[in-house]
This record gives sequence, C-alpha cells and structure tokens, in this order.
Amino acid sequence: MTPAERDGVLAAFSLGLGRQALPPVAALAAAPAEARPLAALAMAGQLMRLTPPPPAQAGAGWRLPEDAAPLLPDPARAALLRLFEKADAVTAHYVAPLLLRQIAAAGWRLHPFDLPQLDGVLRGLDDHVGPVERAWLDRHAPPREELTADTWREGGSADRLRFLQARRAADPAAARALLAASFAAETARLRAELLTALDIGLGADDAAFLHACAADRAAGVKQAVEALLAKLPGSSAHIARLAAACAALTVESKGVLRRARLVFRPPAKSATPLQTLDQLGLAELASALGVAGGALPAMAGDDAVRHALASCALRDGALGVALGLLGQIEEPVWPGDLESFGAAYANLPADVRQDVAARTLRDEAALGGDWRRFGAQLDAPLRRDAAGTLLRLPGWTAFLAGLPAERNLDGTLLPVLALVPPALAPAFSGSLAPIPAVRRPRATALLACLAELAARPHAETAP
Amino acid sequence: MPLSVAQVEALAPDPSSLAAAAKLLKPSAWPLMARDAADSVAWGEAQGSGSAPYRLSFATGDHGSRCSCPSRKFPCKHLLALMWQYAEHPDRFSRAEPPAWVSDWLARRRPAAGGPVVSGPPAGPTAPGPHAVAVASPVDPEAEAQAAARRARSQAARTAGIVEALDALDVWMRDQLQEGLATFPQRARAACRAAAQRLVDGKAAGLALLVDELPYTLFGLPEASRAGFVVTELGRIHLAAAAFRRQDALPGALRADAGRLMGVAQRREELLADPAAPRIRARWTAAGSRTVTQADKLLRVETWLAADDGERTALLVDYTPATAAVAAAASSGECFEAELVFYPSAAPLRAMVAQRGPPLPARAGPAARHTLPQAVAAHMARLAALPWLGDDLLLVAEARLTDGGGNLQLTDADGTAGLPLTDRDGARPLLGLALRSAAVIWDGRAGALLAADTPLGPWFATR
Repeated sequence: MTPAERDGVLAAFSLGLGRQALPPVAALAAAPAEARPLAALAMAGQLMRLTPPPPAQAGAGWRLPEDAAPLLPDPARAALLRLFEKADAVTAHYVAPLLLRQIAAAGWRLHPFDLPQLDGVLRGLDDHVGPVERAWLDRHAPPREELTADTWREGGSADRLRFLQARRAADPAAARALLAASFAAETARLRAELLTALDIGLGADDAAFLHACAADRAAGVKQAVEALLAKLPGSSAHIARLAAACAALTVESKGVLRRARLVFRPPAKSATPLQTLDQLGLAELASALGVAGGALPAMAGDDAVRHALASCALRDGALGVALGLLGQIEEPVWPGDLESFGAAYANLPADVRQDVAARTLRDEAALGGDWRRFGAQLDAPLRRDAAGTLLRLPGWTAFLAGLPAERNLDGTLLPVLALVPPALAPAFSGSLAPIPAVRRPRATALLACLAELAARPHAETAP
Repeated sequence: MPLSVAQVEALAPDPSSLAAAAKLLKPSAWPLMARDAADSVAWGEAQGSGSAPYRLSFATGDHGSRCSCPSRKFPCKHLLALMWQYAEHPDRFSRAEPPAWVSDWLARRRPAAGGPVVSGPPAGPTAPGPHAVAVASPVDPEAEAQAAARRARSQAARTAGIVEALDALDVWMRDQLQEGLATFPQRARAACRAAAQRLVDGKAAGLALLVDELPYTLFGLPEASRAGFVVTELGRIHLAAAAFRRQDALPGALRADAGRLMGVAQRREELLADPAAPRIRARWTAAGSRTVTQADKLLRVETWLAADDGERTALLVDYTPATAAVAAAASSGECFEAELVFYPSAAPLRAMVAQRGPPLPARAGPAARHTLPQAVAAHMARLAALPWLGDDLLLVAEARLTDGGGNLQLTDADGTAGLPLTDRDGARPLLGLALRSAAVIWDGRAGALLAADTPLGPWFATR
C-alpha cells in the first residue's frame, strides 16, 4: 500500500464507505471484493504502526534549575516519603516547615525526584523551600517578576504585602506614600491586609494617614487601624488604653511586711490582664502608675499579672525582665500560651524565643497541651538543651504512658516530635519504645529522617 | 499460632492502611470474631459501608488472607485490624468451627509452601485469579485418554465458537467502516460493548477485552490522535482475528500468540512443562510495574523486567479480582537472578518465574545497550514478527528527556530522534538530564517512562 493509497483509504473510512467507495489498492486487486475493506483497514493500520515516531521536536522547555547543595541521602528520603505519604493537610503543613528547616540546616536539599510526591506538602511553603523546590512549584505558573514601586500594584496580594513590608523596613515614609496612593482603589480585604505592613517602623508620622483611614467603612480596615493606633504612643487610642489599664491595676500594700503588690481588677467582665495590657509597654505603664520601672515586675501579685507584664516587657525589648517574670510564674505556663504574647513574641529573635520557650519547659509542666501552637509560635525546632530537658521531664514519660492504647497516635506525637533536634532523635525514638510502632508509623518515619540528618552531616558524605 | 503486632505492621501495604485499621479496633465494629480450635485460622465480619458486613479470614500460620471488601489494597484495613486484634486480644475471638465460607476459602487457597498466595496465574485474561489451586489428577491411563478426548472435543467446539464470533466481528467492523470512522467515537461505547459481548459469548474473551477497552483508551487520547488510533486498533484486532482463522498455517509460536489473544489459557504447569517455551536465566531488574483495571473487572498487575544484557525484557502478569489488589511480583529497582520461562510467542515477552534466586544488590537503573533509533528498530522488528503486538518495553541507552513544544519526549543524546511520552508530572524532574539508560513502555503511539539511570541516581515511576 503506497502512502497515497493509504491516504485515500483513510479518507473513505473516515467518511464511511456508504458515502465514499474504497479507492483501489493495488495489493488488494486479487482479493474478493467483500474482503477488501477489512484487509485495507489492517494494512493501513499496520502501516501506521510500522511508521517510526516523528523526530524530536525542538523546544527549550521547562527544567529544574541547578543547585550545588548535596541531595538528601536515600535513607532520609525514604523516611521523608513515608512520613508524608497521603498525609493529611494539617499534619503536612505543620510538620513540613519545621522538617524542611532542619534539612536545610543540616546542609541537604530535597531530591528533585521526590518533588512530585511532595508537591501537596510543599505547596504554600514558599518561604521554607530552596530555588529548586520553588521552581517545581511554579512550573505551571508564568515567570514571576520582582515587583517594583512602579509595578507593585500588579502583583498578587501576598507578593504585594511582602513588597510593602520590605519597603517599609527600608523607608517607612516611602512605603506609606505608596500605600496611600492606591489605598482607595483596593478591595476592603486587601486594604486591611496591606495596613498591617505599617506595623513595621510604626511612628508618629503615620498618625495622619491612620486617622484618615479610621473613617473607612469596612469593619476589617477599622480594626486594623485601631490596632495600629493603639500602638502609637500619644495617640488617643493608646492614651485611652493606658488609662484603662491603670484603672484596672492598683498598687496595694498587704501583709506583715506591707510589700507593695499590683492587683488587677478587670475593667469588664472576663477581661484578662493580658488583654487589658495589650499594646502597652512596661516603662510607660510604670510611669503611668507612678512606680519606678524596675520595681514593677517584683510587684506582680499573681501569675496572670506576671504573664501580662512579661508581655509588656517583651514589647519594650526588655528580654531579661520578661524572662525573669516568666520564671517567677508559679503555675505551669503551657508553652503554647506564648501565643498570647502575640507579635511581641513572634518578632523576637529566634534565640530569644528559644530562651522563653525553654523557660516554660519545667518539671511541673503539663505536657498534654497544644503542641501545634507551641511549634507555630516557636517556628523552629527546640534547642538541644531544651529538647533534652523535655526528654528528661517526668511529665514526658507520664505523657507517653497516658496516651490511649488502641488508636493511631501520630496525630498526638508528630506536633511534639517535629520540634526534636536531629541529634536527639535517637533518644526520643528510645522513649517511644513502649508504644507499638504500628500505632505511630509517621512518628517513626519522622524520627528516622531526623536521625539520618544527625548521622550523616553532609560535609562527610557529599561528593 | 501467635501473631505479633510487628508482623501486622510488616504486612501493611502502607502507613495509611495501618492508620485506617487502627480506627477499626473497637469491638463494636465487629459483629463476629472467631478462630478454630487449633488456632490455625481466624475469621470475622466487619461492619463496612456495604449493606452486609464484609467477611474476612486469615491463616495464622502463613498469614494468607482474604476479605470481601472492595479495597484495592492487600491486605486491606479490615484484615489488618482483624490480625491486629488477634495479636493483642486473642481472647476476643470466640472458639468455633469455621463456617462454610471460611472452609471454602481454606480449601481453595494455595498452600504456603507453594509460594506466595498470589503468583503465576494461568495465561490469558480469563485466568481464574490468585486463589486457584492445582489439583493433582489420579494417574489412570483410561481416564486420561477419555479426558484428552473430552478436551479435544471441547477445544474443537470452542474453536468453532470463536470462529463464529469472529465472523460476527467482521460484520460489525464492516458496519463501522460503512458508517464512517469520523463518527465512531459517538457510538464507540455502546457499539464496542455489544461487539465485546458477542465475542465473550463465543468464548473469545481475550479479544473481547481489546474491543471493550477500545473506547476507554480512545477517550483518553488527544482528539487529534483518535482517528489514527481507531484505524490501528481495529486493524490490529482484524489481523489477530484473521490469524486465528488461519492458525493451522501459522508457525507454532505465532499460532500460540493467536490463541492466547483469543483467551485460550495456558496453565502454569503446562507452560513449565512446555519444551517449546523459551527459558532464560539472567540477572533481572524490575523496571517498574503498573496495575490496570480491565473491562472484565479483573486487575492486571504487570511487572516489567529488564535483563542485565541491556536487551532482553520480560513481563510478569498477575490477575486478581478487583476486590483484592495484589503487590507486583517485584518492586521497582529490585534485582534478582531468575530463570524465566516465556510463553511461546513470535516476540516473546510475557513470562513466568520458574526459579528465582535471592535478591541482588540494586542497580542504578535498568541496563540498556541500544540507542533510541536502535531500540525503536528492534521494536519494529518485533512488530513485524507479531503483527498484533501490544505494549512493548524499550530499553534505551544514552537518552535525554526533553520538553518538545510542551510535550514530554525521550530523545537520543544529540536530540534528533524522539519518542513522545505521556505527560506525567512525575517524570518532569528528569527534564534536561543526560540519562544513561531509560525503560519505556511503548504502545506504538506514546511511551510511559518507567525507569531511568540518571546522574542524580535511579528514577522509577511511582504507580
């Protein structure tokens, strides 16, 4: 069958032999007429099957970028894939950032071949991945261009906020001017989001703009403005908050020694000291109460006030004072409660956050709390000494012993174990020995991955 | 016989199965849990989502098991949960005589000494599944002769039935050509179903599957490729049908191919005893596996092997009911020495393990000695020898994965020859890498990359 005959046959087949007769095919001339259509079908089909594939098509196409960092060793890869295989989103998005940080800290990078399987885990973790992973996640997206002052309105909301924050850190007035220029044209949700960037470098120069924004009709924008104004010393909102705090706190002298104590009386039902003292600094509070700044911590009458004062001290940057107050708290403070310190804690340097967290891991600490919140606040694995303390706590053993016997415990264990530094992974593995491995398969995989990181520092194995 | 939780863990196909099993450990989920007096078998009924409880049983000795649930995992979560409870709370299992459904299963299952529960089903898509048992016949010459005569009569009747069904298929095909292939997709499902049913009635179940699956493949293709696919596939089916009618004139191997495509099964013991069946002892690497749900609801588990000579390939196939998925005969990358016995064929590919040695150290990937043009030429030669050849495994040396105009393609080292690949995200991290070898399942239209030896280590497609 020649190519021309084949094309004719295919055209007739396509239209239907009822409409177009089968053209003559020399090779089938001797065949009975009724056999020709199927013979022609077989010949045409086989000709097509025997045609070699077309030459390669040119095209630059997409490919992953190069990265000189060594690849995660195979045992750690296997454990990583076991950990995240069909993992629920909550676990993946809590554990993954912490583990990625540990992998990067150990000097490794994810194996590119694992990226398809980890795609769902990595998505949304742009800040925790390297250039190769980011390129993988962006493989279907158009090339991303860096925003500039001229183009910043063209980016997505997250990119725009990031740009504005960076700009704010470098030049607060210029960033405010950029925001003011486009503020009215933004959606209400975005207006509220972008306003949060002003928290960086917030000062008296921002007051006029914020007061103008206070008239905004959107509730979310109003709330964002109020929160910012309350932080502005000298603003009416801040002055009102300080006055309310002073009204709720009284200095009383009690006991044989007539020692001065700070007593809290809630200004409104169920208001806590922490809420009442929100946005205030320790020094201005002391000044408003007519007390020497250094004396105030010692006057805290109960744990709730100590907790609130620690928050104020953190806001002032008085880390030693804050840590001292936390150390005095008699009732165990659940580390996850650090969340209540809000931005004051989150903005602390990482090592100070570790100090604060370590201070809360005391013998009497109850370990059954919300470790997810703890990890989210810490935003890093525990320091080795703090993790060691945790491991030695009688409460840790009691915590493990108290876990239910007949269900999968990964959901309970992973939030704690994600904070374990690699060097202590074997010790934590040992502490889990009484729990059958079938009840904690992902926890086992996580610790195995961490142990591999500790056992194979990349400098020794990298090619 | 004691069973440990660790053994249950080892039996689990993945961590999520264990997690799912852990949720089924409440006694209330089990209307029935029992074991026999000798503790050789345990069984139970699990309240699933169906109208009736799932029935499941397992042998305590070799852990062979079955469950009536539709899970594709094996063992399923119900079996894991039952074993788990047996390991931890045998007291929850009442003593009883095995009910009929357990006794039936015990009678049908292959003894553990005969190898894994699922292995080596007879050839042909109508293979009776993994639990078939070879029953030894008594040696009685007269009875043997009678049985042989019966088989011959049965064979002749079957052949006559198949030929009659093939005649009907010819009429059906002519009708399609008469109406026109341009409109074939609109009627493909109903038309193919009816034609397949007629073939099943005529005992040509193998060919029926090809016809039945045609629409499913058709609608998975880009629109531009559909017309060509219909011609090649219908032509292939016609070639096979024509060959079966003329099988007496065909060489022995091709005759066996024609019979097998119709669904004429060759049992394991027959194949092992067949002197015409080629036997090859080599070091084999499992290039990968895939599971296909056939139109007849059987699962076809394919394991593709590449020999160390870089040229020879083999395909192990296991059939199982869709309600009881099985693992592949070897996991991707696994290396072992084995003697394979190939089904007699003009292009031998499908094989069975006659004797398997211990595992060998894993290779970096499948061995390959032919460049892409050479591998394609070898495939064409096999296609010429076996005109209705289906999927084939190409072993390609010195290749590269590239993105040609948005479509994945395998090219030779200099980027001239190309092989279009199905666009799977899983292979995209290989883009641009120089591959020392690659294994591709080639169906004549597009390839599915199965394995590759890359500068970043071995890569295997995930199932």
